[in-house]
Amino acid sequence: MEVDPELAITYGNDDEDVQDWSLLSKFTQGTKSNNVPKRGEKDFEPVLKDDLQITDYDLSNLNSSRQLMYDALRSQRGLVSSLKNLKSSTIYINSLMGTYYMKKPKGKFLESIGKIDKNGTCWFNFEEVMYLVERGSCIGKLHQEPEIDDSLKPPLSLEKVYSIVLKNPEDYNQFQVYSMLKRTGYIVMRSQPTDYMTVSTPTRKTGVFSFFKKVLRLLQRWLFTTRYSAIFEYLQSLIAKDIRIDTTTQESKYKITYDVWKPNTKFKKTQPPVPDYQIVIVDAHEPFPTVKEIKSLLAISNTKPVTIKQSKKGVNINRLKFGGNDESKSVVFAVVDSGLINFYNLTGCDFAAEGTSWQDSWMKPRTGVSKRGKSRPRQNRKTK
Amino acid sequence: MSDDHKHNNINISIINNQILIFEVDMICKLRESYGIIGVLSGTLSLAPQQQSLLGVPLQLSIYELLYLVDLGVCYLNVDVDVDVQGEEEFVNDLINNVKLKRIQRLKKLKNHGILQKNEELEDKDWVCNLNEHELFIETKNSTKQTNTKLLSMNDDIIQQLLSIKGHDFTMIRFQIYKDLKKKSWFIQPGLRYGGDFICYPNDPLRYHSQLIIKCCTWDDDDDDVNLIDLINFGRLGTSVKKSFVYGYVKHDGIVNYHTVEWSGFG
Repeated sequence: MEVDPELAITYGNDDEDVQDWSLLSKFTQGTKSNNVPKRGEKDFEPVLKDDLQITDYDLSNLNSSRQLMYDALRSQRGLVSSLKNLKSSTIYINSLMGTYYMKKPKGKFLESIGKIDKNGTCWFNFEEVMYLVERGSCIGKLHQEPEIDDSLKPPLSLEKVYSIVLKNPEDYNQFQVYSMLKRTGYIVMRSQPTDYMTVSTPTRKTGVFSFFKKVLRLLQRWLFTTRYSAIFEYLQSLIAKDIRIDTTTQESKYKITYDVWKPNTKFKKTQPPVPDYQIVIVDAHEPFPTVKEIKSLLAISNTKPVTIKQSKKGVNINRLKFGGNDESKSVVFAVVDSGLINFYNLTGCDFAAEGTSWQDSWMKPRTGVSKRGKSRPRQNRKTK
Repeated sequence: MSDDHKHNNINISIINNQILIFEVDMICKLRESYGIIGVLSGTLSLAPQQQSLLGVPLQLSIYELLYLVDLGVCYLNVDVDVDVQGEEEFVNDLINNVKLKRIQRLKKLKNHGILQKNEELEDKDWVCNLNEHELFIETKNSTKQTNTKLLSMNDDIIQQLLSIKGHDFTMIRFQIYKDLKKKSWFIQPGLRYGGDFICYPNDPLRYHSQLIIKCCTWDDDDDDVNLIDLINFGRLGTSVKKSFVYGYVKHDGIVNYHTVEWSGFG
């Protein structure tokens, strides 16, 4: 990924991030970083003078914080290139056709953005165009027929790119989710469910083995009727078959928009693996999808299963949360409210498949007798 | 129109039903003159791989727009999608940049004593050939707008935005927003804490928020405020150390507020 370690400023996941623009001042031209006070901490409220104006102390702090922010906002966006090579970072916008292309594509971003056809032209989606131009990796120009030398034409302003490229009402929310995920380093592509190599999900073991299992269970039932766990296990085996995610897909206004992968150096955009996450975009002012809609989304989703080992004793909570078995699926809802995005992960969890949580305390195998008194180390709970 | 008036005007663009501001000067003016913060939502080209400091454009909420329109200072950029050719200016900028760089280099050389004294800093025979140089090609935030239009409440575009967001309830929220602005709060969208607005005593850059505002209707047949929500909000407000405030507009147009606080008995 295009992560520049020097510039990647990371913060805690606090809900209300402290916006410390002073960190940026070293990258801004024209500011003397020595004179910049380290500001970023917030106060409860400003101290007011008698005439309800804020005090000079507060005002000067506020102004210096603001100045840092303005400097950062005023910094120029662009790229360094010779006129000869400019074509390989110019995205042409054909607003009539709604297509965006680059003639001689070049750049690191191509690892995960764009689609190159046989003639070597790279085609983009609208959100990719906006992201690349806004980031300063590319410039945008209008497509012209017939082709002329336009190396001395000024690039389109960001405002123009926005206004030409955004067409449908849901586009802006999609772009925001896209660029947020890209900024944080994920690999994001539009979801095309049919294109992925399907992982061979191991089929349920059937045949002789399961036959023996059944016989064993029956035997267990008869031999150990006094064991509660045997009864629970039997009951569990009855319901385990019934609980499967409803695969009947129905028409739903919610669609999986993006496939997301964690940063991966081996990623190939022509042969993407099964995505780590799939994103559904919801506007915060619309009603949240119904259970039916969520179920049908889960049914069509295709994400890489999280591998969490089944614990030997009892139920692993994390397996229930993130879905431990190969058939568990999840979708991520991105809820957008005028510029703010919250993500919710919904996983179909299968309690029945996890086995019984009941354990007969007197049936436990006694281990670690020699170390009696010492508590056994807990299982590693980290899952990510 | 007097110059003083012109100084306070805010130019906005409405693209894809979003209210966006691309000019940094406007963003500064909004913050300082109107106490309107908006949400910066673009990737900051200075540091593109991070999430907490973002850049142009600034996104305004419908309430912030209505407030500006109500004040009569809001101008819409009409020709946002018309391409303005400024070839000459662009080329001049490029040439000037190259010249500046060359002069800086020559000065440096002279300071180190490498350059002969008789060589002049400004070589008159030197012609700038753009093809020979690596150039900084800039994507500007916005193109200079000449065609703007004063927005009024009855404007089609405002009505269109209102109908998308739901006309009646948006107007109720706007009345509460306006009242809070009158009480000189700085207001941001409320998704962070599950309300409609969150209020800051001054610029959010320096101060923590104090109120979470939830708007409700005064006499509605539907039970707008339900008890479970009330308990939820009380607890939420307590745990994030903010006051949870219900706001509603009475018949006479006066806005009333009620704070919900978790009393923590038992």
